[in-house]
Amino acid sequence: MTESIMGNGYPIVSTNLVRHFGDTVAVDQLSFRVQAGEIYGLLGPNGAGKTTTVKMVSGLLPPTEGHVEVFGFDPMIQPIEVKKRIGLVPEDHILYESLTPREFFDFVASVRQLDQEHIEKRITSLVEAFEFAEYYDKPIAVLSHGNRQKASILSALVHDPPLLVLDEPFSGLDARTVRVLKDVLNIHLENGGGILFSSHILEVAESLCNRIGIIDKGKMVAEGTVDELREMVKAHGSLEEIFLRAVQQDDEVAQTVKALRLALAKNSD
Amino acid sequence: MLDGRQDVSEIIESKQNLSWGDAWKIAGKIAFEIQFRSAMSMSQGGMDQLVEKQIEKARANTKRNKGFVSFFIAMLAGVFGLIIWSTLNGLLGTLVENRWITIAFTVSVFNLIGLGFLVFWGLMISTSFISTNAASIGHYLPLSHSDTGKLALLAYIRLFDAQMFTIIIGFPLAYGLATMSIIGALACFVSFLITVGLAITLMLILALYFYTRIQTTGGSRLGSIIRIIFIFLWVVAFMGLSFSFQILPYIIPLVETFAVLLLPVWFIITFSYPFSLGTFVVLISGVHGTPALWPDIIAVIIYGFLAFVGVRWSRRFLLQIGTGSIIQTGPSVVRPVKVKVSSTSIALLRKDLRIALRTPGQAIMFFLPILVMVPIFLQFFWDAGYVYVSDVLIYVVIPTMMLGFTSIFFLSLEARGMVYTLTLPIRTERILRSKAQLLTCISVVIPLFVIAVSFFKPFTNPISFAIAFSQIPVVYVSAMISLVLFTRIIGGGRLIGFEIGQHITQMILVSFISAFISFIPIGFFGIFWIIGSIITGIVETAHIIGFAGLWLGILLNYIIGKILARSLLIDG
Repeated sequence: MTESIMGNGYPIVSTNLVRHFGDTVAVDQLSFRVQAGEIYGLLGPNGAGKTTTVKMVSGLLPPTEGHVEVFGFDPMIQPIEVKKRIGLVPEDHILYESLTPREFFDFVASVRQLDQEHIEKRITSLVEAFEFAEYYDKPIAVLSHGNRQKASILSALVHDPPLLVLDEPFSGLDARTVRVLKDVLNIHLENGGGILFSSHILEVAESLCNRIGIIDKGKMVAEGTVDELREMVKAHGSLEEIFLRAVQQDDEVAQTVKALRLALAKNSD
Repeated sequence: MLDGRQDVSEIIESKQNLSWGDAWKIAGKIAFEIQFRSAMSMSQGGMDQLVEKQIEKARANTKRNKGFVSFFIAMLAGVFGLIIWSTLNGLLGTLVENRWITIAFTVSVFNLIGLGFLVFWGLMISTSFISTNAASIGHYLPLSHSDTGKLALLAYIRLFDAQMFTIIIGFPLAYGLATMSIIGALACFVSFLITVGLAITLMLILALYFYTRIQTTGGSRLGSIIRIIFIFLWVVAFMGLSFSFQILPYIIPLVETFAVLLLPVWFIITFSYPFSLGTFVVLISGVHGTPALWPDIIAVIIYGFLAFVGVRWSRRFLLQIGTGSIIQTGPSVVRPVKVKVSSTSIALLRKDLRIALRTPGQAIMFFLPILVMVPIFLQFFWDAGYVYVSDVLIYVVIPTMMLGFTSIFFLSLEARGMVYTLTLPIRTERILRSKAQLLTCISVVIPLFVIAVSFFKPFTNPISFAIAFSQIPVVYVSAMISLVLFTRIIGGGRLIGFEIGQHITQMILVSFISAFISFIPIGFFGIFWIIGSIITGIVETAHIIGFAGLWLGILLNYIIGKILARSLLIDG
């Protein structure tokens, strides 16, 4: 990746980011920073504000307050500069469903004005790696969830962006594709790229992320490497334990499970 | 998203067999689910948090659309009833011996219109029925195989219940009142039951074909050709149906003329649909002079049997849709991976064309401007002796004033994909410009029409050509301004996916502004023409000065458009 495309500054700097939906505060004073060469994991329970944060970083949603910068560019003021540098895999499949992947990638490559030879080589290797050739001429509408996810991932990688913003990227993928995607992400990091990774699958986050930010109700409740988080919340064991402690759900979950065990017991009468 | 007012499981709980009444209630919920999913697929999906509002809007839209179509069918039934009454009472001057054939023809035509209405208006929603798989809910409930089939069929029927009800009841009622024959009204009712049965079968066959050959196949050239032919036929049929509404005032003389023309061959065509049904009705009604065409009864029995078999097949087919055992997308041919990089403009246009040509409901947008102009063009062709500059102004400029805002239909093509476009490094103005360009390409038919007319009629002034061609940039600029204003109104200057039906008020507002903007150049033409006439006193020179004024108006519009785009769009 060239110096010019990398721009100045960190891949992402978020400062006191706030987003309201009516009376609901989806993101509340969220600050974090993603460095080049690292995968930053944004973890949180359902409805914590992960997807809203991803949308604000990508320039799809304006923040109510606060500020975000992507390689020194504001997604609201300089959206073109930001979008040139981001490869986004959104949580929902938002592709043009009546197009085939072939037509879709033609469109994406043309709008991004990519070099024909370079892009053809890149997309051919990606299609091969993700075993996607069979689906290349079928309308996206009829693809399975996993194959739509592959199409979404390929569209995020096609222009070799320095920043990948991935919202639940492993959703619906088989074991082989998960492995390939992990390798692709590692290559991306080796090339000096940055990754913002949003997920609630803790095992994947634990094995992939260099640093993790745990958010709950839109607020950052803990941030650091897995070891730092362990130290911070005084929890032992897996990331799951740390996560539950951080969002203060460990006792509540234990009690819920206990009650459930009683309710579901076959001889409860 | 199923309506939670009365839980489906509550209705089903502890029932061994589902009654028709309960099945009808549950089917209503499934039918609404299909309409809701169809509406949601056009909206912005995850970007919008107000799903409850969308549900309410979808419910209101469904009722409004059903109400509108039913009202129109009822009105049409009234007109046809009036034709029959007038014929029987000799008010149309039809010869006594020809009265039976006029009535038979009227009944036949209404049967055909009923079939056309259901099939062409219902094709899209039938395809949604297959693709959304909402009918599969029956398979997850504790229901017998037979009840699941019943539920699927009723859910399908409930998508068009109001329209079907109006067709089956409306015309027989009008017929009964016109002829004062109860047995005739009953025969008419039977004929429409057959028509609705055939329509259900035909709709499902077409929807299945459409889904498997058009929505689920892409890529190959042959597939594209088949797709385009199918869409073209669909649009022609749809336009024909729409055109029939425009000729409503002339329908009475037309019906009579055609009926009498068909008299010599009636014996032959009486075997065919829908003429067999029309003959059957007059025969049963005992209209004076009807020949005893007994083979017609056999034809009606055959059509009745086909409708019965068709409905039974539909029930089985709908049952299979739920299990996913029907849809086969055919073997795939793996072609080499290639990427074709073109200019941004071409890529945007090509993408819109591809999306539109896979959905007949959207393909019609390309024909909408032509549809609006056809009656005006015909009038122009028949009326104008010499083509004066004033004729061009009336017949060419006025239609183009109505054209600019239709670019909003092209914007709606994006649907959920709009969110993806927003992730690309492309300005909102650039996307809007591509839609305006698309409409401009279509608007070329306007000056071409003037040229075509000029082959048949003498022109008084060659400036007429120039004025006609000047409408192309007028359309472009008014389209651009319409798009900018609409984007500002519904998205605050940011592009969002939307469904047209939910923004009718905003569209009407924009259409007025667009018409006003389109009028500016012609207003300038008028002012400059008057000034030119006063100063020079020569009509030809005044035309040239007026023409210069026209272009000044276009330039002014262009500048207004640029300023609006800069100030109203979020990334302008």
